[in-house]
Amino acid sequence: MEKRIMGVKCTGCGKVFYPKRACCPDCGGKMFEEICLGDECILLTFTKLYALPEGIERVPLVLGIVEFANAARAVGQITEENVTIGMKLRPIWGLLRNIDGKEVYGFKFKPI
Amino acid sequence: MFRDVAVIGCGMTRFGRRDDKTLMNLLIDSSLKAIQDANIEESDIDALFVANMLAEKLNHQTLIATALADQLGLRSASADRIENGTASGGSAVRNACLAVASGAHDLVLVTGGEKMTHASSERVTDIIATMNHPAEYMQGVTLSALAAMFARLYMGKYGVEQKHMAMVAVKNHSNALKNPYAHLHRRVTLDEILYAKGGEVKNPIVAEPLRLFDCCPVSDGAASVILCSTEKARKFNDTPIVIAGFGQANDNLGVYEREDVTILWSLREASRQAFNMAKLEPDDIDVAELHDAFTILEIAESEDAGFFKKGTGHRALEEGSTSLSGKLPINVSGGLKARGHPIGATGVAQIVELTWQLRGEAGARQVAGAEKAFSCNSGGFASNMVAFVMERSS
Repeated sequence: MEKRIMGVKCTGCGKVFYPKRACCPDCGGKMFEEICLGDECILLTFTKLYALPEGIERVPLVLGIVEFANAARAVGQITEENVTIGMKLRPIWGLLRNIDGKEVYGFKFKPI
Repeated sequence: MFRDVAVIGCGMTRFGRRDDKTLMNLLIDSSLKAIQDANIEESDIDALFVANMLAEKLNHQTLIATALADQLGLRSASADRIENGTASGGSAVRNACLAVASGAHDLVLVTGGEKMTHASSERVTDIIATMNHPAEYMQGVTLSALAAMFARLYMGKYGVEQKHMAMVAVKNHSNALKNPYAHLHRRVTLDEILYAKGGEVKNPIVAEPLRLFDCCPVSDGAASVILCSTEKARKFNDTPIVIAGFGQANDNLGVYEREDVTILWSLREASRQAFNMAKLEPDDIDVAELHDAFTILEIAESEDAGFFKKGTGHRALEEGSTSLSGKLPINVSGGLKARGHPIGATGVAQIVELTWQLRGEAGARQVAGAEKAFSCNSGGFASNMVAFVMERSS
């Protein structure tokens, strides 16, 4: 089965976060339940990065901030170069970069 | 505060590529200048704070506060290093203020410094990006990438254009020409930056929509201040420069999680604290040093510190209000953009510049009659903010 992007929902006030955090900044709650953020999100802002850090070779590296229907946000790589604010994306699992010579995997975002 | 705190000495090294000096040489040089400026003996110092972010990564050295204490012969003084990302300098000054205000220490030396130009830009970019939320870092999100995504939102929401960001660069480069300590001594025009007119200026894209001239350089350098109680400072100087207020606050570490990404909440809160403590208002300020690691940040900070209404900072800039001869000169030192950004030194260098301004010792870049000043030093992308209000006591 395909991996789904998981966040947490504060059981106190219902706010959804990605990733997990210790305390809810809105209500101070410490109890969370794990939920899927969704299969679709909207692009809020983006950049094409040319000054890359060590461990990444894709030039330009397209990065964006996305928002899901439950108002949770995430940040990540976008698989295409042709992007516009407001476009719909879906999270997909894949290789992100190398850190200390090790491959790091996570969710990136692909235009729908 | 229990005791008012004053600056009685300050010193700086020239910022820039300093292949001639080790990190420790830079820290020693600025410390000795500040000690000489204050006209005290090394043995008078009873506490030392060293601001530095990267020594273990780039200079193979830890316990550097003790290493500096050893060089200066400060046996009885406390010695601590403050690592608080790019706000290390501001944090160290704030901790020194608390040390004096509490009465625990009488004469405190703060030295901030960094030596980073020898490392590859990919390595420096990566290490600096470790300040970001791990969810950002693992994706390859750097500080430039955050500033770029922030700038794109700012441009859409408030009508800021590429030319406004370039105006910050032109202004700060022009100011730096009057600062012998600045890293970049190069006059640039709006046409050169925006349209590559004039031939020699290259302005490649760093992170769309930001170009090279929207970003501060990587620099080596150090800066130092000596603090004591205002009461004691009067023995050294008839008009001591007082740190009238300070504040510090955090925003969401992940920029993506901020409700309105264009608002620098940490600065709003840190400056509110600083102005409250100083019993002053933004309108009282004559000169300000802001954390312009990116040109868009100077515009945003000029608003969230309280100087201009949100969304109008670029208008004030365009009208010349923030120029050296304007109503509120900003970054007369050249700022991070052109004075340079040796990380640990930056927050301390802001206090040094403002001390010179308030003493009337800033030479060609002196703001006439400056009596009250403001600075802010940002850790990460405004994730941690330290703000100061300074005043020439009468």
